[in-house]
Amino acid sequence: MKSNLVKDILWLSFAKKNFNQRILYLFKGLVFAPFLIREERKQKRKGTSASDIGLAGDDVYPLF
Amino acid sequence: MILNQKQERKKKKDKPFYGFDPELGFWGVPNLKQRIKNSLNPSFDLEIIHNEDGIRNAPYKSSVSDGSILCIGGSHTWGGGIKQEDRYSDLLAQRTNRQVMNMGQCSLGIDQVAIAILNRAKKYNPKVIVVEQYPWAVTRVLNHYVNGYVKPSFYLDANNDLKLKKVPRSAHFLLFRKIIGSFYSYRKEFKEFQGGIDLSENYDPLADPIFCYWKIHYYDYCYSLLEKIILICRDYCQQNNIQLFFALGAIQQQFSGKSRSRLIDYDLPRKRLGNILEKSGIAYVDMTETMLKEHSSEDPVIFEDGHINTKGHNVFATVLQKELEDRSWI
Repeated sequence: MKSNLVKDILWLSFAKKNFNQRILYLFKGLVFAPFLIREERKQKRKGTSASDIGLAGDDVYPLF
Repeated sequence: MILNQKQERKKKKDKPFYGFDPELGFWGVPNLKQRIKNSLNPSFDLEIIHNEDGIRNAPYKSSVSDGSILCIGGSHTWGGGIKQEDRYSDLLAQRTNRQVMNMGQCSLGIDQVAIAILNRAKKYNPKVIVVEQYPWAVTRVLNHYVNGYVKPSFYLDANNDLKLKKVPRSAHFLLFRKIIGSFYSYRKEFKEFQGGIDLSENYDPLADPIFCYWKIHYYDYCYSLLEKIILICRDYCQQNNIQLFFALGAIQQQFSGKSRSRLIDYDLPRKRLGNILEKSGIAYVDMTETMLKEHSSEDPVIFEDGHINTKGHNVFATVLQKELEDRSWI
């Protein structure tokens, strides 16, 4: 799972049209990779769900 | 001289009329009065006057005994490109002799609309709440960083229950907003990339993925989220004896004629949203047919970018008034 995510990060940066954009997205991907991996792990731990990549909020909203 | 020119350019740039809000991410600046360049209709500058609550509306009069009509939505409701008095909410107020409060804010998503209804509507003692929804804008629930502001975000947990991630306290500060926002933007683009969607390079509004049948499943989560959020609004209104009404606008692409392919359906978000509203037992009106009927190239109801113009607001107000009167809600 982790290696797929890293692969996708690389593919996203390679998909950019110019060199500067590729470097920027590679940098962003590497910086944000730990957070994406953590979210992916949280989602996996919670089981399959329709949830977005684990937006695990700490605050439960009081509805009324 | 170069420094003076830079200072001049900075002065000429319009000041933002919205700012950080700890609950909603961003909201109109209270007690604002300024003129901005009207990019939609350059014939006049747009005067923006916000009341003490940061909404583009006259101050609320609590002395008025009848319950108010509250209109909320994005830039169409806020009145992008038109004078305040020409908006459908203001026309509705004139024609029904009711107090109508317009809580519209540019770029507002249905997630923020729900929070605003739950937390801010009570002040206006609404009898009716009208949620104006531009069908394309349903995707805003997936976008957590808008116009430089971090939004609160709803999500579904493993039990399919709706949860809210509030705006982080640190988002009050510009630097932290930029850092958090940078991550949110990257994450959104990354997920879209994984889903085979590219909104950054060569974006074609006539082939936006939200209209594409082969991308329909990517947005299933978006509509699931939307349904839960809409149910919150419905339940709140039911508990507080408020009539909830949705008004679905016509999207820009529908005015440009038929799509290039049968697999691209400009009605798709509208149909899916309509299904949710019907399933939830929420009254709504679909403005598409009327707006398209009233529209012509010589006398349009929209600006070039799809925002409804003065004529469009007039049509909107007429239809809305009839719908509310037919239901004996006003």
